[in-house]
Amino acid sequence: MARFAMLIDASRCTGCNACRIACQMQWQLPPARYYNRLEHNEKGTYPNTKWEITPIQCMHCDNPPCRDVCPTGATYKRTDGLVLIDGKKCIGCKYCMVACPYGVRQINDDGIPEKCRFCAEYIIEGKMPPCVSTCMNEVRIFGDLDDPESKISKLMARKAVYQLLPEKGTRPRIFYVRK
Amino acid sequence: MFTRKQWLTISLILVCIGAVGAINILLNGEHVMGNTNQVPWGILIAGYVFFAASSTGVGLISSLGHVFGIKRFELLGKRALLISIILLLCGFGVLALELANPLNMIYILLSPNIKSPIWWMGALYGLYLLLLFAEFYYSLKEDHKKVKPIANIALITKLAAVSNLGVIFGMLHSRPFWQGPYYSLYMILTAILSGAAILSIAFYFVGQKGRQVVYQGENILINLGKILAGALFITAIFTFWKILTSLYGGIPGKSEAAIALLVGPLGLKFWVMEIILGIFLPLFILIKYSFQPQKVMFASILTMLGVLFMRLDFVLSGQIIPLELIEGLQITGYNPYVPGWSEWALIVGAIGATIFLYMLGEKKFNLDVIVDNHEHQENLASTKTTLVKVEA
Repeated sequence: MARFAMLIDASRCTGCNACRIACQMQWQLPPARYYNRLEHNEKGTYPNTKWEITPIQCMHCDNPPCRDVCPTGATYKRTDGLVLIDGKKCIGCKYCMVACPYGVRQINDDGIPEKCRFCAEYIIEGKMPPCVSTCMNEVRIFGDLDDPESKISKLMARKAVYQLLPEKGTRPRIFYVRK
Repeated sequence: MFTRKQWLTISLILVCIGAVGAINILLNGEHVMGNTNQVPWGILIAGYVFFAASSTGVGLISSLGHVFGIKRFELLGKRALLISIILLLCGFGVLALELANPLNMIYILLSPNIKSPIWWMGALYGLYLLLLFAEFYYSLKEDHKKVKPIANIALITKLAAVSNLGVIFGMLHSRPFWQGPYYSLYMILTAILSGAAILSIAFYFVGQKGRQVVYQGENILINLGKILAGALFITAIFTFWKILTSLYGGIPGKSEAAIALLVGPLGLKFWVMEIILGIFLPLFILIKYSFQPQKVMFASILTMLGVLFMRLDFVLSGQIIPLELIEGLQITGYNPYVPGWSEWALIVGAIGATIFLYMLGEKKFNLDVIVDNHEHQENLASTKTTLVKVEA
């Protein structure tokens, strides 16, 4: 059984937003809707300052609060780790949007709070999500943690990594390389 | 005051305003609502909480009569049940328009997630509505043997339902200002607050029509006014400590939300509408005029206005602070939220519908509960004497 995850090396990010645009193209999203975004944070004190960029998208948590709060089970977690939405069951209560500590849900025209789905339809064919394949600096590495030969497994074994908001107990499947 | 016909006209105008808002929301969805991805819950969720908690509060106070056997509160009887039913139906109506896909509600039954507080809200308020219908039906038939056990189960159900309403927010670890058991207790307290206020308004007009509102020489509005004053006082204490504990220590997400209420974008609503108009002014009126029925009614109208904004402040305060997901991220500004006109219209329409349906109920059903016939006759006689004197 696969255990999909993503490793993000934010220090390599140039802030070009190609990941966001590639995702929007892939899913035919309007300009104002996006499933991944870049958070910018100014670090240091003038004149020794720097711009830190952190790519953010659905964390596909192992303990996802959006799944727990969904009254109809429209949000569910697959055994391979992907957190997905069954639009047919969604009542549009937006509880998942309020419950997500990462603020990654975006309401679509059908009133369904959509988000990154790790391109479930493409990775099954062995393809990479466009946010991964389009990035010129290999900021994102996507793969199967249960495969010791996968690139992500090898990098995870070598690098010090962290997750966002560990205190929320969500156990994200997106890891960041510690700077 | 207005005549029955004028009240019907006013309420129908309000219903029409609400209908226009509802149609606009149905046709255009989220585009005409103030909700954003950062503030997904807006005034319609606040409106639902306003109606559902008020319905529960009316039910809780009427339980004093038909569950706890306090004779004077038996006067509230059928009218309280009818008001409770109408408020809950209006609340469900507001919620249905907030939901993007209400028709998918069938999946609450087909694939229930019992870990979700919203699932429990549907289950408990659904059950409460059924119990209310049953209790009202048997009350109209004067079948007290059946009313009593239903009322007992309804009491447990309504307490569970209204505290679960707070749990919906309290379970959210992503929103530090809401998280915790505080809002479960707060919901029970403020439900009693709005229940006492709504019953006071209703029974003031019931008394004006010459129905029995006096028990053992004391107008029921005096008792309702005292409950209202107590609830207002405790709400003030609750609010004070909530704000202070949130500010203390500068905990991210908590203290900023408290600051947003005190001096931020929610400040005007919080101080003017919720605190001054909704708590202190009614409390002052109640105490200064020693719970005179007319003043109780006036204080109750102010309270309900305050409660409406209290619900809005509560819903927005948990979402107004941007999520701090990266350590040291500079948060600049607040998440903006401005309700659309259609949403306001819907709230106004639901208030109109409450008045309209209640008046229909008054006409259709015999809602009088004569607790002490002798006293009622005396009361009627004194009302007639007063009327004769006024006419003379």
